[in-house]
Amino acid sequence: MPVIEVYPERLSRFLGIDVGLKQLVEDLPWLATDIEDVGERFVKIEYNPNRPDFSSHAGIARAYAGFLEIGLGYPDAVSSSPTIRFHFDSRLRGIRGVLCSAVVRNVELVEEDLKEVINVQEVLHQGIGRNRRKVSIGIHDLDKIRPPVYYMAADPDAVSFKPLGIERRMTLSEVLKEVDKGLEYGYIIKRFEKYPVIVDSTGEVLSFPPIINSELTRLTTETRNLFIDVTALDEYYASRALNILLYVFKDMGGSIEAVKIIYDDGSEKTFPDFKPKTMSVEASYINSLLGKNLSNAEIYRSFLKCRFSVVNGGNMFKVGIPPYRVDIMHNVDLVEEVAIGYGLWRLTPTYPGASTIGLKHPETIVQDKARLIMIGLGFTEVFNFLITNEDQNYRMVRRPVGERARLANSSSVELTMLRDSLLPGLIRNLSSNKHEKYPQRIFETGPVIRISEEGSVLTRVSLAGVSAHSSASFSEAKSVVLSLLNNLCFEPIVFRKGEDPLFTPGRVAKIVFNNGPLGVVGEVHPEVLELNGLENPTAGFEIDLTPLIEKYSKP
Amino acid sequence: MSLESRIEKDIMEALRRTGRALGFSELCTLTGLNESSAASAVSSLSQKGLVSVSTRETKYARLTGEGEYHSINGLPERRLVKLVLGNGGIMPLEEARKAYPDESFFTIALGWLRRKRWGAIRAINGVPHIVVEKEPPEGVDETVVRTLASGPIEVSLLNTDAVKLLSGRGVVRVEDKVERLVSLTEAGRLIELKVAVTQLTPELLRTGEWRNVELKSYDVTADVEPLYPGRLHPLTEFIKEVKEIFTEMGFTEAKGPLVESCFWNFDALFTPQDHPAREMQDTFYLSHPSSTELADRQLVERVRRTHEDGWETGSTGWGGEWSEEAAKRLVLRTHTTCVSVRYLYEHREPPVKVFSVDRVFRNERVSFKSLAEFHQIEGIIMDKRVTLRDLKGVLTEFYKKLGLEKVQFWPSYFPYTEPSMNSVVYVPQAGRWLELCGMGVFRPEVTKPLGIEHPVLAWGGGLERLLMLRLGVTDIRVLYQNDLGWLRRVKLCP
Repeated sequence: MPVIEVYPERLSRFLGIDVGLKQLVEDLPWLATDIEDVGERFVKIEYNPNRPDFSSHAGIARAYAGFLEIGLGYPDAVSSSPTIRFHFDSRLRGIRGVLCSAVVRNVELVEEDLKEVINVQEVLHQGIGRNRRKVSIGIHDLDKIRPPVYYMAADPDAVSFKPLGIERRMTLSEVLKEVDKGLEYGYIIKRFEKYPVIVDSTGEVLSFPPIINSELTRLTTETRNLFIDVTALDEYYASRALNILLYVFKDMGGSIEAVKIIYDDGSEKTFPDFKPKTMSVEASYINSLLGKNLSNAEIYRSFLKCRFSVVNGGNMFKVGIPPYRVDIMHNVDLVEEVAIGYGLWRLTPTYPGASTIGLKHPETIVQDKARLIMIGLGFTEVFNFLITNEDQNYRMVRRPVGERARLANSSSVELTMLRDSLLPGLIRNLSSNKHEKYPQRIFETGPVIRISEEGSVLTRVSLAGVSAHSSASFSEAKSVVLSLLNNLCFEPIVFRKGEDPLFTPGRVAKIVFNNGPLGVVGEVHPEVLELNGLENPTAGFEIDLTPLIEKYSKP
Repeated sequence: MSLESRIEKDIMEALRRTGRALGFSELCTLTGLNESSAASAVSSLSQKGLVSVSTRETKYARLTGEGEYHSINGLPERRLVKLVLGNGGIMPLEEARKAYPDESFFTIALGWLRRKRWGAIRAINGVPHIVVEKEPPEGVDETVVRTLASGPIEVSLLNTDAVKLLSGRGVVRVEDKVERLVSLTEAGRLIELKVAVTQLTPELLRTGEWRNVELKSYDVTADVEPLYPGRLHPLTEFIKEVKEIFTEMGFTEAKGPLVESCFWNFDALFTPQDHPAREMQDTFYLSHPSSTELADRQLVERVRRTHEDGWETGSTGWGGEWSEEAAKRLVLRTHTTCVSVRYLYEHREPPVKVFSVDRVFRNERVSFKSLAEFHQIEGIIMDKRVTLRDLKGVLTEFYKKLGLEKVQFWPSYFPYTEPSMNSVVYVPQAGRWLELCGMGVFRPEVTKPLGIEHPVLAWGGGLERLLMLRLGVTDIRVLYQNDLGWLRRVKLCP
C-alpha cells in the first residue's frame, strides 16, 4: 500500500489554516488512512490504493478540509479553451489506443512541489496505471515544445532522441535494450512492430510512452508552463489520472488549459473532462446498511464533507462525484462516503438478532478426536507447511518423484510443489531435533494434495505419526495404529504385506479398510534415517482420515 | 529409623530372642544367613544405632587330624577295652597286641587303660595278661571328642580338664580367635521391628505384608527427570479456541478447496483481472494442473457481465473484457473469503452465519514477519436486516471472548466490501495496539451474481499475529519450526 509523509506546515498551505502534528495523528485515520509512523515533523500515513488522490498534500488537504468542515462540497476546477492540437495516429489503436492531454500555465514549482508531482505521477503509474501498462503519464516543459503535437506509431529503429538523463541520442529499440526504464517496462510494447512516440511539429521526440520522456522537455524549478500527456488502454482511468494530476497543479496555483485531440477520421475530443459524474442513492438504503436513522440533513452534510455536490429530493440523493475520485462505482460506495462524512465512531455497536446454531465441520471434529487419541498415546503434534519441494517430499525419503501439484511461479526454489504425504515432513522434523531427548514421538494431521487419474487436484485429510528411539519397531507403530483406528471406529481393519521405499522391505504393511487402502505402517528404512542424519530406529505410519470425515458428514 | 530389609529384621529378632550378645557365627547359625550378608546388615544396623559391635578374644577347641580319627573309631583305650571284653575280660598281652586293629596306637591304648584304671596287667603263669572287669562309662574326654566332631567349639563351653588332657595327647588343638560380638543397643531394644520398603509391590499388597513394612521416606525436594506430555501444537490449541468462540456465537464452520480457481478466489469477489493482487509475485499459481473447468455457466456469465459493465448490480463494472481463461487458472487460495462465498452460494436462505479458520497462501518472501503459508480467521453473517453497526457489535463480542476488551474501528478499503472498516485491538499481553481484521459489507457486485439478496457482513484477519503476541513470540517462523524443545516446553497461558 502506498505511503506518504504528511508535513503539517505544507498541509496548512493547501488547507488555508494551521494544523498541528498531534491533530493530524488523531484525525487522518478517519479518512481511511493508517498511521504508519509519527516523526518529529511529519506523520507517515498509509492510504488505500482506491484513493490515489491521497498521493499529495494538496489531495489530502482537499479531503481533510471537508472533514474539518472548512471546505465543503464539490471542489470546482475549470479549464480554458484549447490552443494546442494533439494529433492521434489511428495505427496506435491496437497498441496503446487512448490519449488524454492538458496544459497547465503559470505554475510556480519549488523543489518540494516538483518532488510531490513526481510522486503523484509514480503512484498513478503503479496503481490505476497498473505499473504503466494501463496508464502512463508524461509531464513536459511546454516552452520547449513547438505545437501541434503528434502521437504516432513509429518504427523502433527509425526514430531517435535523447532519453531523460542520457547524454546521447538513442533509437527506440536501443532504449528498450540499454536504458533501465526500457528494460523494466519494455515488455508492455515489445511485441508490437511499431512503438508509440509523441513528437512536436519539428519532429523532436517529447516522449516514448510508457517508457521514458525526452531530456528535451525536462521539468525544472524554472518551468512555468506544462504539457501533460496520458497514454492508456482505458479512457476512464486515463482521464481520471489526468484529473488527479491537474487538481494538484490547480491547488498549487496553476491555470488549466484544455487540449484538443484530433483523430485521423477528423473527429475530436477535448480534455480534461471535469464534468461531474452523477449517481443517485436512497436515504433508506444508506440507513439500512449503516443501521442508523440519519435525517436527510445529516446525509446531505455528510456528502458535502466528502466533497460531493448534492441535490436532495425526498428519499433520493443525487450526488456529483469529484473528478479525481476513481473509486465510486456503485451507490453502495456512496453509503461509505456518508459513513465517513458522518463519522464512523458515531456508529455505535449493535448485536444482530438472528438465532443460529453453531457447528464445527466434520473434518475438524474428526481431526480433533484423532488428535486427542494421539496425544494420549504420547505423541506431540507438529505443524508443517503444505508447500514443499521434490527433494523433501521424495528424495529424502527414497520415494520416487510422482504425479504432484506443482507451483508455476514460486519466489523460492524451496517451494515448488504441494505435499502428497505427511511422513516426509515428520522425518524432516526428527532430523532437525536430534539434540532433543529421546524417545521422540510426533504426529501431524492435515491436508495432502494428490492428482486424480483425470488430472485434477485431490485433497485428502491425512494423519501420520513417527516414533524414534533406540528400540522403536514395527510392532510399536502397529499398536499405535490399531489403538487409533479402534478408537476412531475404523472397522474392519486388515493389515497386508506392503511396499513403500520409505520403509524397510518386509517390515511394512498396508492398512486396508472396507477393502480400500487406508494407509501404511512400518519401520523407516535405514537409508532414509542415514539420509536425514538420524541415529535412532524409527517406526511410523500414515492414514487417510477422509473416509471417516465422509461418514461424519452424512446427515 | 527403620529397617532396610528382611535380613536386618531377622538379625534384630535373633538378638531379642536370645537376649544376649551374639558372635557372628552364632548369629549366622541362628538366622540361617551367610556371613557376608549378615555382616553388611549388622553394619547398617550399627550405623543406625540399633546394635553395637564389640570384639572378644575366645579360645576354641578343635579336633586334630588324629582327633578326627578317634572321633570316628573311639579313643584307643576304649577300643582296647572292647577287644579284651570281647575275649572274656582276660587276654594275654601279646595276643591282644596282635589282635588290636591299629598297632601304632596299642602302646598308647595300654597306657591310658592303666591310667584310667579301666583294666590291669597281671602275670598269669608268668605270662602277662590284660584284665578288664567291666565296660567303663563314657569319660569326659570322650564326650569332648564327640562334641567337637561336629565342629570347633569355644573352650569355655567344654570340660577344661578334659580339653587340657586331650590337648596334651595331641587329639585336640586349642586356638585363639578374635570374634566380633553383636548386641542390642537401648534403641535397638525399643524399636518396632518393621522393614522399610522403597517400592510398594503388588506382592506386599496381595499378602497384606505392607502392614509389617515401613514405606521409606523420600527426599521430596530432590530433582526428578523432566517429563514431556504428548501435546497439541500451539497453533492447534489457538485454532480450537477461535473455532469454539465462533460456534458459541452460533456460527457454522465451512471448508473449501485449498487449490482454488481464480474464479472463486478473485472474480466472484469482484477483484478486477488486472488487480495487482492477482499478479505472479503475490499469488501462487499452479503449473500442474494449471486450470479447472467452471461448472456453473450461468454464474460465470453473471460474473463476467458484472466485471465488464456491472450487469444488474447497479455498478459501472471494471470495464474492459473479462477473460474466462484467466478465471479458470488454479491458484493456492490467497484468503478464506472464497470459502465463505462458495458456502453462501450454496446457502442462500437467511440467516447464514458461517466461519472458517484455515490455511491461506501468499507468494511472499519468508521473513520474521511474513510467511508464504499462514492461517486466516473469517466470519460471515448474511441476514435480512444486518448493518454496519451489527458488524461492530459482533466483532466487539468476538474480541471480548478472546480477552481483548479495547477495540477501535477505522474506515478502510477492500475490493469486495463496501463500506469497509478495519479494527485495531489492544493486546494486554503485549501492551500495544494491533491491527487485526479487515471487514465490511460485501459489495452488491459480489452478492448479486451469487443470487444473494441480503446484506452480508464479513470480516477476516491473520491468526498467527495474535498468537505470537499471546506467546510472546517475535518471529513468526517459530510457529512452524517444529522445534521439539519449544513444542515440549512452550507455555500456553491464556
